[in-house]
Amino acid sequence: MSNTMDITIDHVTRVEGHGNIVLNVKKGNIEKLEWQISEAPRFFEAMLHNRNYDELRSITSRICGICSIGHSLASLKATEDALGITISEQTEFLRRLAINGENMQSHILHIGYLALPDLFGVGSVFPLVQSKHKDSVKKIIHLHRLSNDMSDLICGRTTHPIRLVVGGFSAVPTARQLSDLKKRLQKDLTVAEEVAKTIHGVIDGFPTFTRETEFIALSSKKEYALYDGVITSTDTGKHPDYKNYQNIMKEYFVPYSTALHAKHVRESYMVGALARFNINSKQLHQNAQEVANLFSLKAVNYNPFMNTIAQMVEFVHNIEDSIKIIDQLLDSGIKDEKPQEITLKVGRGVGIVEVPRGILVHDYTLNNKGKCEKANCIIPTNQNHANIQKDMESFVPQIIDKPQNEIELNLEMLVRAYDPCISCSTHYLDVTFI
Amino acid sequence: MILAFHAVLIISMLPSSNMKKIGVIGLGNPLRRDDGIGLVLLEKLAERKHELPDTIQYIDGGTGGMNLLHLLARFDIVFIIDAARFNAAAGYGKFFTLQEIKNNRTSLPPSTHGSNVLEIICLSKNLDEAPKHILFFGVQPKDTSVGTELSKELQQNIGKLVTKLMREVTNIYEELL
Repeated sequence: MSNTMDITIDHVTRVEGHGNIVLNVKKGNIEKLEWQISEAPRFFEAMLHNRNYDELRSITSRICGICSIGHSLASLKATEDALGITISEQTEFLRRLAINGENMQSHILHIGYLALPDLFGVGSVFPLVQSKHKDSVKKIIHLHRLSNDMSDLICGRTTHPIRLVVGGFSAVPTARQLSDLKKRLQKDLTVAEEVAKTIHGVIDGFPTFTRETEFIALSSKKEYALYDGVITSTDTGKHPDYKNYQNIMKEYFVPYSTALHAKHVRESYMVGALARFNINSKQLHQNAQEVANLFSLKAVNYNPFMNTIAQMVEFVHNIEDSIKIIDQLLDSGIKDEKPQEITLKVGRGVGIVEVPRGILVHDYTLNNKGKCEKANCIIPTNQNHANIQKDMESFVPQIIDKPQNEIELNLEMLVRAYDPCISCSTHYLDVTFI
Repeated sequence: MILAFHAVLIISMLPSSNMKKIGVIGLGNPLRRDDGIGLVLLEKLAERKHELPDTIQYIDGGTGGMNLLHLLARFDIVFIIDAARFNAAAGYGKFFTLQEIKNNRTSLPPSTHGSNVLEIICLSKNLDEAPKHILFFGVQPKDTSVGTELSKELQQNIGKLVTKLMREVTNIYEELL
């Protein structure tokens, strides 16, 4: 290692938000290597101060244009936990459909529009439309459309849902609509498997880098956990005391980032599709298992680039799971239920769900007038920043003899593998209101 | 002609599957003053929908992007209402087709970031799913700075713009069907 180089990637493209990579090498020695977050903090927790319990969901939905359903669900779970509300079985089924729809929307967007161009050696998905890969792009857009339509049907809107309310749904789909959706899902399961095969054909484009780390995700005895479960670590096992999540997700500042970082028992941990796969892979549905087998993806996998493949596996699982949920809903009959009645009370509630980029926590304290006195949100991308930094520190020495443009591309691909949502992550503070 | 579309207006699905699907889509950013004119006109048009063919549906297309691609695929005929810079007096509205635009995109955008309406239409055509007819109603903006109020010139012209839009939509609807 005798090279000298200064790399500043300002900003990394094909990720949500603004993040920079800085690498300074002098005579083979790495003098500076930082994953910097330069996005302005957004203070969403402060916006919740003194807002009514039934406004918290719609405000926090706006944290993210990709995970707005996930933020809504975490928010509703926290609010309902604080108010002691138990939702109906139908509401829970519909929420599980909603979370599958969002996972599908987000995953296919990342796989097809953001990650796949790297494997095909182009800068964006658009040039692929005029190449021999046009059919693959059409399939990806087709699956994105299916996912959007599904979210639209269940949540009333593709992004920033309007039907998800405290205690239930303001409107529910008809049996006919669900039945039509099921037919589309059944048909498009094959399309998803074809996309997986296309990606498998170019998988050699991913580096074979590995670094042992801790993975954290929800887990459940009943299923591959997304909507509900117990905080689980590959290092320390299950942590059922969900209200003390801060003992697991220890957030801290670093001087070069406007986003908080997080650690647990090691210097960093990873959340997201790969973490969920590593903890819950045995509970995947059959076709999803087969897609994992196609890629020889086995738990525990320590290659962060395989996060994109874990997303593809989850996409297939989400379709299968949605079909199963629709069958359960149709069997029991769709009821025109009103949301649960609400009695205000003082309390703290914590809502935890798995969103596309990993485990998400909302934590609210409500007063006797139903106003929010204290709020905290733990965002998945925040939890991954430290792991990205540690991956870079381990990865750069392995690629330092490559040409500078290859090093740049490899580092950008590493960041993109985490599918970071930087705008979400720049919330900065655990605010305690006066 | 220099175009700066940030908003589109479309019409919607017809009840029978053998009928043409028609949509009016308004696009725009209401936080950038006159850029939001597409959405203002869409709302005004929807308020008077009883005076228009009842098979037309009205859609807020927001600021476009990839979701516009999915919207376009649903229709045979689309009307897009948007702010458009074409060196006219502020508040002047004009109907036109893609063929009338000099800088009509024939190539795809380089990135998913910042792709505009014309680029998304180009992508839609490349995917063989574009509506057969796409018509624009462009309104010359005056002020697209940050803010929620339209400029005085556009506010004063809203009535005329809605009348013109309704007449043209009706005419084109009858002509194309």
